Amino acid sequence: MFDLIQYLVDGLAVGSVYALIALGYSMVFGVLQLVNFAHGELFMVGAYFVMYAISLGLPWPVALGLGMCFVGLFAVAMERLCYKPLRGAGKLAPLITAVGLSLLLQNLVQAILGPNPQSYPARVPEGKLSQFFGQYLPDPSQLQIPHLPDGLFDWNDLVIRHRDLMIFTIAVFVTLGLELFLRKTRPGRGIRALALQPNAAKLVGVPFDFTISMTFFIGAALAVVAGLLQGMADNQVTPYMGISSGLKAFAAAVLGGIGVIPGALLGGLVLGIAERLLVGYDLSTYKDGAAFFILIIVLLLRPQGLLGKARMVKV
Amino acid sequence: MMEQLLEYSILPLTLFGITAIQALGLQLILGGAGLLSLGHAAFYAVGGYSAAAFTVYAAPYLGLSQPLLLMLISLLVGAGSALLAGLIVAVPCLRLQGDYLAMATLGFAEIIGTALKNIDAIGGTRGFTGIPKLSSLPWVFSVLALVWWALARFNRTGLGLAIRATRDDEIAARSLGINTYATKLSAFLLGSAIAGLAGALYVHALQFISPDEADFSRSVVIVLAVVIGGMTSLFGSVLGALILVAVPEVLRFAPDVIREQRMIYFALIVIFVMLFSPKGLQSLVLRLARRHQKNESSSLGRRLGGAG
Repeated sequence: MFDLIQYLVDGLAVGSVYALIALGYSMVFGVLQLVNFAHGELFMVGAYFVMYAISLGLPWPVALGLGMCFVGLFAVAMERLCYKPLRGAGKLAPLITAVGLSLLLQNLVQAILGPNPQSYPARVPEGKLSQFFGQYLPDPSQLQIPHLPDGLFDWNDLVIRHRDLMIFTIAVFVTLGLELFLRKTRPGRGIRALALQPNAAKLVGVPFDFTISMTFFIGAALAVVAGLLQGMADNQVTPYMGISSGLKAFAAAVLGGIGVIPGALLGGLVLGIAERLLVGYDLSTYKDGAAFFILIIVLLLRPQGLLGKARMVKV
Repeated sequence: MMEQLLEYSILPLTLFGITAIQALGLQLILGGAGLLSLGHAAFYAVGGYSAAAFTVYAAPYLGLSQPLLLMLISLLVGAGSALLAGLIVAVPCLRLQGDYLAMATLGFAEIIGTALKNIDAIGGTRGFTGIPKLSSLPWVFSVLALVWWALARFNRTGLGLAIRATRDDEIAARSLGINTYATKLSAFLLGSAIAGLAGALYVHALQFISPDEADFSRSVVIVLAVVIGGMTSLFGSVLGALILVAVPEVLRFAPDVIREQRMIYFALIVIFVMLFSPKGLQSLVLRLARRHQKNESSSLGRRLGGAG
């Protein structure tokens, strides 16, 4: 029984990272009914970007801000170049394009930065790139690499690591902030209006293309936050982290109710806890299947997700 | 030299045939019904494992030993088991709007991969070995030809037309009295069963299968083949399979820098195809062939003194 509580607490940190990625899936799906399959890769690119920026000696808030802008603008460019021309071409074409984009990003990063995991401080892989960039990278021994707090609360043998608590708090605040932005500000209400009824939103003057670009930007920026947290928590960044965490985050978004912001948080946390429980009870070989098992069960029993409302599809 | 070349080409040709059968199955789902299955390789692996388990465990028990009969039954077992697996995934997902099927098939593939790694009787992570050699290149190509022919016939039947009508406009199709759920389901199940056939052929040709065959990357390769070749035609799928199997073989002699990045080229081609030429490379090949034909006929016309 006591183990159970410990696993629940441990699962929250993993789940928080899933939740931050799931928010991006959820928002984009809300406005375009598109599964942005490449969203997980934005998380991966963000994790690399921030790791290299910090290894260059930038303070972490600057690195994070730059990463959010860079990956956010990248996501906007991706939407303009690859998804926008396919609007009105049905659902299949953008979905296949998204799979292609995901494959492209994953393999590009692997080609440039190498297939092996990188940890702080990041180094450029051997080769021509290394000679070129090597002179700009500061000496790792002189670098102040920020890291998540190490301490832990010990409370009747129930151990809560500070860093898990911090990741969880960040995820909750980001979700709350996003929910406030969507409810209280004008651009945020524009996003909600588009998700609710695109044509009516256009009629009352919601700028369509701008709002969609903004949705992609925000989703990507949140994925970069997740990338920074995950990269620091595991001290490891790989070209494949996007595909594995990204797909689980999608499962989390569906579980919580895709298009519902608190649903993404709830789904992520439930998924993280479920995975931690499997590891705790010696079933870790089944860990990676758990997300999808939950996904299929949810689709069978409650397709609108835990917090979603069933929507009638009008002809 | 010639003999070596022949011997060397057997494996790539077998793999081409099997990829082409998988691609034909996915073409029916993707190009025919307009549904994206990202777990096609898992259905293939289910078919392959079941067929192998049948010949290794069930056949001696049943006293079957005639190779031809055994291979035929294992093809049926492969197709049947993949069809059943398809039923489990498709029944909940096809009732829903949106792209849930793509993600659920992907999730299903992960589950299948996880399960295969954990079942010891079929080899676990080491893979399933000791499968008798029952199929070979002629088997693979006969089944490929049969599937191709049967699908071409099927596309002209009422159900085949209904599947494409549902893809083009679901509401219009429903107003014509088509049960769109049933047509989508039948396309998905038939496509999965064809993947199972490919699996049965694979295990009995290579005498080995591992859980990696259910991997997401394998499913992506089949999607790439269908999309690059041109997802609206059967010929396109076979062409796509040929491109995907041939490119690594051709690049074998290219420098490392070019060879190792082939997934980047394939990804770029897929994005390009979706944005600019949704009919795929197949249309390019046909256009070239047609231009060639036109040139010939016009020169013939001139020779006959016609207007040309």
